[in-house]
Amino acid sequence: MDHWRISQLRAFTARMLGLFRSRQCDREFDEEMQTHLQLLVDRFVAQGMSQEDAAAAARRQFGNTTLLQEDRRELWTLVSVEDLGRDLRYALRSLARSRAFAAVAIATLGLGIGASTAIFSVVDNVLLEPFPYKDPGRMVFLQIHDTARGQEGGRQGYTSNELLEFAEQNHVFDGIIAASDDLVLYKQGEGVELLYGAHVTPRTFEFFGMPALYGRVLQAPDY
Amino acid sequence: MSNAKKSEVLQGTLDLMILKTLHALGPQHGFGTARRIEQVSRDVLQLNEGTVYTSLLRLLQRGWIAAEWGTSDNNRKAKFYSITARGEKRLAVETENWERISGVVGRVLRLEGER
Repeated sequence: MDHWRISQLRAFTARMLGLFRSRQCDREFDEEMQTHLQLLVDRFVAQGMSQEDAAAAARRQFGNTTLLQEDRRELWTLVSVEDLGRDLRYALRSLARSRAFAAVAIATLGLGIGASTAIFSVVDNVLLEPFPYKDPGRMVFLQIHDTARGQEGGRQGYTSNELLEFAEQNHVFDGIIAASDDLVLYKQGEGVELLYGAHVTPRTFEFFGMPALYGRVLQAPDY
Repeated sequence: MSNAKKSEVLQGTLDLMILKTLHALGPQHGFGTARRIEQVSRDVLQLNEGTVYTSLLRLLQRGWIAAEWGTSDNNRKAKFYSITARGEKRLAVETENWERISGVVGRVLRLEGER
């Protein structure tokens, strides 16, 4: 029984592959049949038949080539259109008969698909494509850590001198940028809005590969 | 059945005959397979030779035979079919099945005489 299953599976796989190369197969199959017919004709002629009688006899003995091509296509396709229609109708009828089951099945599928989509979008945002920056995988955030102390972690803030010295000695990174937060009050008409601003070192936008959403980014003359 | 009327090939038995032919003769093209079956059946069987190809395809899909393009005796391009190891195993199983079933059918058909 198991053996049978496996061979069914193989047939299924062959059919899947058949979806992608049906035209070439059609041609090869045609060629094969034509060769066979020709060989039959040769044989009948050798037995003393006229060319015409031989051709007719060969066709008789071989059978209907169009039917064969159809059989062949059916073997190589997953399901015929009629089969598909029949299966669909059957499925709908059975679902209509047992509404409770249908409702549970639909709800389960809906929840499952919804949950997978939600989880994937979270994973995609957090793990796969966390930031829309250029080469986010090559960006690092450095901490200063005193190796003499056993404690974990370190300082994330740098003084200007530390930063300049670090940038000067760097031969590891393609670029180094720094920023300091600064709250900004933005007056607009009668209201005032509190915005999170930042001072950035030159080439910060180029470093992130981000365009300005509005206006333009800082350029050399601005520095 | 004493007149010269030929019998139709039973559905499914052609697969078995082809498998056996490839097992006995080694790689063959479709034409050769048809000739062999014709020869062995001594014109008892009515065989539309085209159905040999449908059968070959079925066997191919199951992985019981393999196909390869080659050149036939008279220098024609032809597809050669050969039995695979899996096919050999299948042939053994199917042969045993066939013998068992035909034995049973034979016994059933002879029952009348014992009434």
